[in-house]
Amino acid sequence: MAFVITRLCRDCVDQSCVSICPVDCILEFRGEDPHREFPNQLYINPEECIDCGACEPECPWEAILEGEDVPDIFKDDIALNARTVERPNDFAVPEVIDKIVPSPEQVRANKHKWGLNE
Amino acid sequence: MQTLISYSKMLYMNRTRVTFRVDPKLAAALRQVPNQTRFVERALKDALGKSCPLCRGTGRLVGGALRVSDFREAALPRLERAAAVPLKGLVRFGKRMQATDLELEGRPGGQDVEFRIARDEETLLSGRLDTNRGAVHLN
Repeated sequence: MAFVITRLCRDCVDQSCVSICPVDCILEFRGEDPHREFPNQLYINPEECIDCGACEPECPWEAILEGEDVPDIFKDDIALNARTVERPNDFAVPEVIDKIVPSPEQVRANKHKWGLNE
Repeated sequence: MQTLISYSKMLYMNRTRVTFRVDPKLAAALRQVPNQTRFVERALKDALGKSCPLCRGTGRLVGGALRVSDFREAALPRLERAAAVPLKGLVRFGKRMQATDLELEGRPGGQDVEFRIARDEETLLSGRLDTNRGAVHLN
């Protein structure tokens, strides 16, 4: 199963994963979104993903997981990432902009915000 | 005489006249060639027989996506950062060369990964990726 970018990415969007992905399968949404279906986060195209795992440790927000490791409360994110396959023209590889690395407290707070308590 | 006429007819059967314009210098050079028809025929056949491997003589690139081996299916170890960067380079090379496949295979007993970039049956580049150091060794 391909890797998945979970909602922990939303509004954080570090993009370190984009630089490291060998096959450019990490994308941003660029289409029309009248029904607000596509939140501000990155997405992995599961058909392009080669399961190399290089992206997972790159994300400072720990937002990337293998498909089978996605917790139940984030299971909807698997299907959300898969939308990249049905709307290929609405997604593209983003231009990478350096972001400030979050502190451990910020990472914990982000997880808590999304209901992931460790 | 009748034999000569028949022989001439045979020579020109299934032949089509082709006329084209060239610059004067080329025309002068061609006039020096003893058998111009045969020379031009051979030159044309030679050029037409060597079509571009990328566009296959069509003038348009019709390449599909590059298929890269799946790490899980190939039972490859997780890709470390050091090796991800050169692998990205190999993928980009493959796409530029209109390759169809980037095959990856683990080497027994080691962390190295053998790779082969191919366009259909033709190998364009092969070697191994040292996943610890991120070095690429070509065959």
